[in-house]
Amino acid sequence: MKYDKLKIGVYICHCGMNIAPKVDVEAVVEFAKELDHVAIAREYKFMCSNPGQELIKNDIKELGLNRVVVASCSPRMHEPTFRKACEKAGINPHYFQMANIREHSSWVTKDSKEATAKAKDLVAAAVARVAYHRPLHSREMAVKKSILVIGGGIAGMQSAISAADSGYKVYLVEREPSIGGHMAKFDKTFPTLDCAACIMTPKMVTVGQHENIELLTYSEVVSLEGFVGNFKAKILKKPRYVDEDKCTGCGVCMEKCPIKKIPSEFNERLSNRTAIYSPFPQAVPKTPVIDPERCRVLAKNKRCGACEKFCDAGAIDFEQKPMYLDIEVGAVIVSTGFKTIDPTSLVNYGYGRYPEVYTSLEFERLNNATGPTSGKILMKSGKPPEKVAIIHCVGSRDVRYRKYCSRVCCMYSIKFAHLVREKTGAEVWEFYIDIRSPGKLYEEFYSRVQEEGVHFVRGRVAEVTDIPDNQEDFGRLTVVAENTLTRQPKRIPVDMVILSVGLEPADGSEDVARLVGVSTDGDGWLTELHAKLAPVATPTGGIFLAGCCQGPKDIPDTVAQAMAAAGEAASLLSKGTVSTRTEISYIDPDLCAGCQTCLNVCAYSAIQFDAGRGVSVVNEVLCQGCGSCSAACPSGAASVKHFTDKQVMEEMEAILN
Amino acid sequence: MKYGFFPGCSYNSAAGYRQSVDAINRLMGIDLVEIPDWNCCGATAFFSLDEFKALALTARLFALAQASGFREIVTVCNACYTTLRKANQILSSNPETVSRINEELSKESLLMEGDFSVRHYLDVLYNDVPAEKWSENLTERLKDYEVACYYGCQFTRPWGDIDHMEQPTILDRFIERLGFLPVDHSARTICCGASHAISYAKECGLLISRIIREVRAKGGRVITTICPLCQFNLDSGQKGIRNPIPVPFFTQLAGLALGINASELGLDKLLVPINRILSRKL
Amino acid sequence: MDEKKLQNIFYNTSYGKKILKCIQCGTCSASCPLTGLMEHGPRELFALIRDGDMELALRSETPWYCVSCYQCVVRCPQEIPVIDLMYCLKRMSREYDMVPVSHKIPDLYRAFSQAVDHHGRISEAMVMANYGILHPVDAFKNISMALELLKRKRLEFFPRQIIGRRWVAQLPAGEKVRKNT
Ligand SMILES: Cc1cc2nc3c(=O)[nH]c(=O)nc-3n(C[C@H](O)[C@H](O)[C@H](O)COP(=O)(O)OP(=O)(O)OC[C@H]3O[C@@H](n4cnc5c(N)ncnc54)[C@H](O)[C@@H]3O)c2cc1C
Ligand code: SF4
Ligand code: SF4
Ligand code: SF4
Ligand code: SF4
Ligand code: SF4
Ligand code: SF4
Repeated sequence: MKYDKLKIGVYICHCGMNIAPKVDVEAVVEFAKELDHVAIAREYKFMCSNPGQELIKNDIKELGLNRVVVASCSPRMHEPTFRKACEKAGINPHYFQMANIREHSSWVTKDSKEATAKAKDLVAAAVARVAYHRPLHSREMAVKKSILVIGGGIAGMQSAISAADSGYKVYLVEREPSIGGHMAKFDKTFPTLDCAACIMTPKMVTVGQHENIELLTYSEVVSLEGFVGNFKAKILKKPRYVDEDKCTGCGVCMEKCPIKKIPSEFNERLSNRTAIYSPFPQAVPKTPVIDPERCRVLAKNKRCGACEKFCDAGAIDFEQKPMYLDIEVGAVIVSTGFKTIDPTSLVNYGYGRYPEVYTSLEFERLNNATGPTSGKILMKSGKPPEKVAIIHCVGSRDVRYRKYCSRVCCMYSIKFAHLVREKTGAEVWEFYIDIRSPGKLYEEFYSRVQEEGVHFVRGRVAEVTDIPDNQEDFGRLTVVAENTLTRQPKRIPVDMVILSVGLEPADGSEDVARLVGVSTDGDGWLTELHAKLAPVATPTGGIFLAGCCQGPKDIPDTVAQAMAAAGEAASLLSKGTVSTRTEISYIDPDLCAGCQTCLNVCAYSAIQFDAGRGVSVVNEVLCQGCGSCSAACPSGAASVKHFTDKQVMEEMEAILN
Repeated sequence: MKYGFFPGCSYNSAAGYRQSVDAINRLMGIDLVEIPDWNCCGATAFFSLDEFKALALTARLFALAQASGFREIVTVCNACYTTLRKANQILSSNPETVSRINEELSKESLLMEGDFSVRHYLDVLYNDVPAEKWSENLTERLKDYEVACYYGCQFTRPWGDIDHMEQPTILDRFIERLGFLPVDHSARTICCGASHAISYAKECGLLISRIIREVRAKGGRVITTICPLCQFNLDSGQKGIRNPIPVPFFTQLAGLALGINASELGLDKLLVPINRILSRKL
Repeated sequence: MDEKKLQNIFYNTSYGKKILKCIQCGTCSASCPLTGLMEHGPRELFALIRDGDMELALRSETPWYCVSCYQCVVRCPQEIPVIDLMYCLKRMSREYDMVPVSHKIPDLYRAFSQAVDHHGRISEAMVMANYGILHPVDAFKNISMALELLKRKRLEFFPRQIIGRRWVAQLPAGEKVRKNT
């Protein structure tokens, strides 16, 4: 299927100093010139720059090139760049092939000779492959003018509001009974100590009332199909057993419910809730839910119905069933946030063993005006502490748990120190490895809290023990650390210990990632398209990230990213159309035996069986080009365009020779 | 149940350790076959002075065990246990060192090959002897007696292979199986300073008193240990402390629970006498 | 020998390069039961080595105080094998004749290894006798203890000699520092 007269142009990129000194670029050019059908081979400092692209375009026009190979970086970033250049110069964008001699050679090879040899192999392979490329054409398709946001923390709420304000319909799916996420649990926020509720509640209300936002709480996305511009999502609405349309949110049911001793998840189990409950007073929506595992009627089939009896609105509905909702959207924003590291397995800090050891989230609730102690910082005994230790980096910067820095815990720890000083006057000992306070007004906040008389000790805590040094401290906790600045071992008796636990991906975020087709990094965070230049987009078109699901960050960064994600999604939708995928499966009707093996392997239900002709047919819109069918097809009828056996075999053979 | 046995240098002079181990072996049908002509494992001293020699000493033990047909070696001392496990780990990933050592060993017509399983006697009693076998033989006389289990610093480390590195419970579970009441305390694995007890007695005394104070505060009436070095250090280190706490070996407690009498278990050899407690309870 | 060279030698031992990952958090030094006696503690030793202050590191008493309790190893957030580095520093300081003279543990270890060389095994009393020649005060303090043990028939002076003792004694002094392979 080769052209009669193949004319291939090969361009070797220096990538500044990234490829060039390690790979002998000139040698690769000379080598490329000798390959079959190569009409011209050149080198250039930055092929992706404008002049670099011009080189290609000119050669296509002047030398009549009909195939192009660029040997440079990973196709992830610049394959679209070069394809576009080809297209502009008049040849099909798929007459292009990229050889990655940076990530696959210069960056990972020590020896310069070896790196050059490998670069040559990769170039030879690309040249051999491109000869068999076929022209492929995509179609323009209209996009759906709506957006799905998964996760209703501050990130998801902000994305929803921004997108809805620009006129798009937004479905906001939150799995808890209320939106709000972690921020709803805080009282004050660093560095300016704004009251979290004051800045957050208005946003929650806006989300609840916005004409363009359809709020789906207590719901989860169970499937997502389609592609950029045209997704179909299935959403599960878990039964609340309370009719959202009828309920007025009066709260009488919660007062009357006899089952009152259920640890409240929202209050970090520091107080109790009833079986019919709303997680917190400012919840949006206000409609409570019945916990089917604890309600007398639902769990035990016993008589009760107190809530039903007292509900004037007649909103209680024990017969409610799970509901599924099918929606169509043009873009998806994932904002599933984080969870905090469970410190139980760091046994040397005594969490779960000593009652006065708290996690940071527990402390946030203790300190919250709507929390279990109405905002008074009290020990379990009901007395305020006289001496408090705050321990940084719990579970973070620790290769056995999470190797990364969780980024927000230094600042929230400093916030805690301030709050303890302000509210109780207690002595505060704060143990840190490094103070990380990069951010507007952050260092200033740190220095202010230093001046408030907090003891900052540079040293990671070795253990929290109930073995006191002096008999009079019996019953207190002793925090053991080295002040690394003075080389003094410290054993500080305290009344209360707060563990500044790190952040890790929310439960189930791997499932969400799989659902939307985005990969996760080694720690489980969702991966953005480019760490610097595309921090909210993902490699999957139409899927964007906002907030902590992409990595730990504070509220200002979360909100900025949320707005950015909404902006990206909106700009995608406002264009009106998207091009369809070209690298999709094709089932050759002449070869297809009609066995229907492919129907079973396709995860996207993109294959239908045409009973009339007795062959399988690919739906070009649904196919993701994953290749499962082509691998499974026993008669070799299914193959993915641009990844045909011939193309791949030629490529491999060139390397092996 | 038959095992290769490495008693270690401190076993014989330890307060009734051998007597109580022997007594339990008889009752439970455990056969500990002493590795013939065993040498000192070298402990931490040799790792600090000359690593080759440290590894050669332990390799000889493995070779002797291998010659007697054992690939499993049971120890009764935390220091031996850790030294042997550590050496085994280094040797199994350093074939060159092994072949150099084998050259030396060939002078004694010995050879060591492959991995060995190093176990502590507690592990054998807890995991290999079926739980029912204990319950069948128990007498009730020390039921609910409060015992603080002291594991010492090395037993669970550095790999946490046998139990949790900082909060182990295997000895507590064992003691509970025998009918005692293990008390929860925070000194299970904190170091008692045994190896520096002679040279830096005053400083190590502090470590001992921290352990004793904690056990007393949490209601432990005896401290039981699984290592002759810990036992000696805690037992002898309480001189001058008012109302010292007896420090019997876990095997001695097991013996008592099985109804063996105190003198047969060598309990008279403890420095802090245990008689008072026994007589009150018996 | 110049400090740069010593630093290189250290880095090329089995675990030497691991200290490059140390974040100077102090968990090791805080966990150490004998930290109060150490002039540097493990953390500061690693900082000294990284700065190339090998004289200070190798003449330090810190490693000799280490009782091999593994507490630091268990807790180090960077999984640095502190204990093996302590062994390594002790062996290096012996190889380059920098053992701190004032410290008693080198003498104790020597007493211990002498006993092993002679008998193949040790007895506490034997080690005590070897050591007591150098540190009579420590030995004296233990006499009453020895009597107590004697009373309970727990004092053995000579350990049982083993056939393999000659083999033990003839073992060549290996290189004290295992090199990275
Ligand atoms: C103790 C503590 C104190 C802090 N204090 C401050 C501070 O003072 N100032 C500051 O700037 N930052 C602070 N932060 C950081 C702040 O919490 C985060 O920046 C912010 O909460 C991130 O918001 P988010 O929406 O990305 O994530 P989240 O708040 O975690 O929200 C995620 C939401 O998604 C939902 N969700 C998860 N998975 C799914 C799913 N599969 N389907 C549907 N919904 C799902 C969750 O239920 C949740 O509602 C603090 C953090 C902690 C831990
Ligand atoms: S369910 Fe009924 S009682 Fe409960 S909050 Fe709603 S309206 Fe009020
Ligand atoms: S029916 Fe269930 S939810 Fe309603 S009041 Fe009774 S126990 Fe509570
Ligand atoms: S932000 Fe501070 S406390 Fe949190 S992991 Fe980083 S250094 Fe540790
Ligand atoms: S390549 Fe095949 S299996 Fe994969 S999505 Fe397309 S039709 Fe389905
Ligand atoms: S605990 Fe580990 S990382 Fe921390 S100072 Fe010690 S060696 Fe370095
Ligand atoms: S192993 Fe050594 S350095 Fe580490 S804590 Fe124990 S005594 Fe200290």
